[in-house]
Amino acid sequence: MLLLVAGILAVVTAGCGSDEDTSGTSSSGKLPDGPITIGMAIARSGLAAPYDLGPARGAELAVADINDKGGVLGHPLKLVYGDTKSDRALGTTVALDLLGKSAKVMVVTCDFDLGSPAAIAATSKNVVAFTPCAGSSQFDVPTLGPLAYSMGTEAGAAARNVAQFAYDQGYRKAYLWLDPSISQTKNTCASFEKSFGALPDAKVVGQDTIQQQDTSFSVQVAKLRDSGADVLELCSYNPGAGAALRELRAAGVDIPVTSHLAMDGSYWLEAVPNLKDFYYDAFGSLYGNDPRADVNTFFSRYQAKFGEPAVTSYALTGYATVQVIAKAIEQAKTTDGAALAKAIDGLGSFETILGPTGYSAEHHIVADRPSVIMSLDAGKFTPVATYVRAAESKVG
Amino acid sequence: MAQNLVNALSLGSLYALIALGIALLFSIMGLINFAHGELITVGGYALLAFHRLPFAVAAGLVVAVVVAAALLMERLAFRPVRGASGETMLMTSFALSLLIQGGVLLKEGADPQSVDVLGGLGASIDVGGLSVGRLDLAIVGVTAVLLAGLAWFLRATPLGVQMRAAAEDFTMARALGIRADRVVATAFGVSGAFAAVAAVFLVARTGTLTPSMGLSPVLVGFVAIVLGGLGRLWAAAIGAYVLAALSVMLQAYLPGGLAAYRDALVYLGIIVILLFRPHGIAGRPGGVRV
Repeated sequence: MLLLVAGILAVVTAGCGSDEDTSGTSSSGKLPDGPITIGMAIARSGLAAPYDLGPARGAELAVADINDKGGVLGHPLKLVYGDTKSDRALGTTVALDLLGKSAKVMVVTCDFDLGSPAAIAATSKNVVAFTPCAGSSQFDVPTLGPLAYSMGTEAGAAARNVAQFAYDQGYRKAYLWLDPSISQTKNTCASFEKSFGALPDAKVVGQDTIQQQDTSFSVQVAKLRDSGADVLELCSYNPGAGAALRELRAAGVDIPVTSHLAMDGSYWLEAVPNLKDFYYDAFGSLYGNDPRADVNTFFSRYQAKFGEPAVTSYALTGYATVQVIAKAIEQAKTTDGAALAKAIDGLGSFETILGPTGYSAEHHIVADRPSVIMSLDAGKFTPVATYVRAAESKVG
Repeated sequence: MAQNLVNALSLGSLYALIALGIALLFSIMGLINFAHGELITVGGYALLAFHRLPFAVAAGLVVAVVVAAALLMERLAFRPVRGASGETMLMTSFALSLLIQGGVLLKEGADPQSVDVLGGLGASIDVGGLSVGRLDLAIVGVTAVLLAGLAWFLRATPLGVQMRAAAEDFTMARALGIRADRVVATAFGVSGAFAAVAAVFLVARTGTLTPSMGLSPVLVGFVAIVLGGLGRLWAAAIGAYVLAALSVMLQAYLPGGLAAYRDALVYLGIIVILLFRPHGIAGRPGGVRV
């Protein structure tokens, strides 16, 4: 409903601003005399701020690298920030404000539900919008139109990789814990259930709902214990996911747990000390032990520049987003939305820091990206395998 | 079933701690204190700050910090509006709630934080085939002791009797020479102590903290009070246990697809109960109707 309202608002405001458009601000494709501005309509405070910080800094590193090499067609790139405060309604306002500040491309929050209002505001003005890491399959052409892109791995594709990994580890009876509050977690559990259930002799033996505001998960733990499952797929995010895991382990249930990208990073680990047998998919390892040298270099540069280590591997997506935007502008020689989108769709399998990344006119979210499966054992994160299209692959 | 009853008892005890803290102020001065949630937040972050100290010391410090915060709240924000209408006090509590939340956000940042408190109490013990968490036992036990302590305080101490008199009729109590400042400040102090204990158990249970962590418990507390019956302390505790039982049973027995609507169904159940008992389960007719 909120989205609908935001959409209507965006369309209405787009109509109101048509005079401005013809006068050659936001939607004009001509490259400016000075820097090319990328609008960052992201959360600098509130719930989504921790998820948006890393990609924004990753984008800053990429901008610095590109500008060091002379920019894009001689134009330096420049990032201009606006704070959506993790508020859907503010997304539209912030994006429109940034368009008024000559943003030629818009980067939005790393979540479909929170990022789409800003994306709609930008695309309705013929400006390409990119979310660095939203994983919901809705961040794609059918829902948001031909000018919105996600650098994230489609949650369903990542969950297929994790389901295959769980199967390859010998688990046959999975149990699902779903937090239904965001589409990414719903996509993840739905895809895991479908893929795992389709494998020979494997079965999803039960599922339950867990919610962010719950203070007790004892009922869910009791039901899981009685189910006879040998692996738990956790489709939730923090802080709720950490609280649920804490209660699970405290109750003495030590079955392996698989999860997804939202669990990347160590900031929640204090809640579950000595957590073992925990696996999730990540963009890469931020602990210096990734199989790819450029990923390890990225994270040491990140720490050097920002004075603290990256919190999650999401930071890589901001870098890759700017890589794709720069390459596409270089090829299109314009920032006009339609022309730029055509250039992005035509890049083919473009080599980014996240590995080969490609889009088509039909799909604007990445489905065949390698998922690095991370293992967590008593505070130590180790990449244990890499899966692409539900098959193990060698990377690095 | 027995397992679910154990779970409901534990959750109900946590809810009762929160509900009583709010009910105490409502029955004495008609104040609906939304900022009670922020007392829990302050307690949570105080625990994060002190968690490396021995637990008893840390818990004592948390209670001291939260009681001090509650007393300050009374002195600076609520005393100036004491004679004002309920709406004014409600708005004051909203403003205070946002102010404290903003302060915590500024100091601690928006990122969720995690902490391991009472990790040793996490393990479960087997009682006749039931798996009972030691933390659950602690919550139920401490809540029972605190409830009994509050009942004793209200019945057997002069200050407690004055508080009950103020709860019956604040104006009459003042006319009879009861010192309002002292009674109200004591009520805030007790309310703060309950919030502190709730914060310790909440953080021990979930291991996580956010600046908005007080919001959900305070809403649960209000619902428990309304469900139990406004204006009576022990009714708030009954409301808390019924609310927890409803929530746990629905979580346990709702089929997969419907489980996501658990809270909606809980509140639907409450509406039905209030239709039949508009004064709450244990509220007295003639008291506040909902």
